[in-house]
Amino acid sequence: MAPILWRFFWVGLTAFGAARWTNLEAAFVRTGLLREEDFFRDLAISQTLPGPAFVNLTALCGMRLGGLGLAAAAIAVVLLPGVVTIVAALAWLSTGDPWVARLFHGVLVGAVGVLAASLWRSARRLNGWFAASLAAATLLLVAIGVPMVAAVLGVGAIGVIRYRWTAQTLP
Amino acid sequence: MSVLDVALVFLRLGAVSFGGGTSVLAELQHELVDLRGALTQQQFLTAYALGQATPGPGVLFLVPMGFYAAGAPGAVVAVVAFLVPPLLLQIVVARQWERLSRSPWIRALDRTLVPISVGLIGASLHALGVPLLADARTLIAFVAAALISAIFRPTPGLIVLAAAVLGVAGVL
Repeated sequence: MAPILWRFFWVGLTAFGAARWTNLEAAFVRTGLLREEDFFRDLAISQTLPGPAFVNLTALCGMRLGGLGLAAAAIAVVLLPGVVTIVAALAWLSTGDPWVARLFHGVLVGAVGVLAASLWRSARRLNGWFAASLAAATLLLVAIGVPMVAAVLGVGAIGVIRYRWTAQTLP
Repeated sequence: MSVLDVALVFLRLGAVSFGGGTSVLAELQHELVDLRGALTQQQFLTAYALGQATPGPGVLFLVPMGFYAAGAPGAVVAVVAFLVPPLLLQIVVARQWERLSRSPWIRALDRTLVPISVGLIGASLHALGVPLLADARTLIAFVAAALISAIFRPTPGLIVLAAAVLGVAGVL
């Protein structure tokens, strides 16, 4: 179990930015520990259901490699490098040095820029006016202060009914 | 904010975090900053920056948010409450996936969740951007970071690192 957990730890240490799942693919699919079709099926599940896809996929990989116990341990070691870094950073921030504040301001500007680019790429993949309308309605409702759960349920119900009806009426 | 309140907020939002942790930032800001005053706007922004500047899942902004709201126990509870319910759901659904994915209702749900995720991430960008982009230099740096990321697609860490260096240098 230790070599597998070491691989998860390495994934947690080296995964940055978008498409972190590629680190898991490199660690377990390219090395032959997981079958490609199983991995991509789990990727689809992790991206469909709520929760961070990278953490969800880590759990599903752990389940396949060694059951529930390994899945729990895999999540712990994947989170460990980031948590340790954040605890250290929180202690560092508490010193109140002005340059530390400037550093995090810079990090934030860069991270929000990356988020905007990611949003742009995702929005371009929306298929048709109805999907774009669902996205716009969700954004607008949450931005004006409608509780997110209500917004997701309301917009979700409209989307599911429409897509289900469209599927039924296709020739 | 009590640890129980932290648990309830993060439990509720974790359960609807379609599109990942980033999708609930707008609601987290509303709950933790606007409604409860558990975090200042600056602490909220710093928490997101910390999550993006560290290795591993981007959702680690939960740690500083929980910490600022209720100390070290708050940090642990925020992470557990946010992550565990979706993880349990994954494990249950993964075992039934072959059967579920054939249902037309599930396929309709799958198609619906994509635009909802995009909308939620847009709302998160709005929540982060409004307080952050208050001056011309920050706005220019944000646009440059977004354009470079969209056009050249470098590793996001490089953009964050470059922006951090500009921040320390006092350019931003």
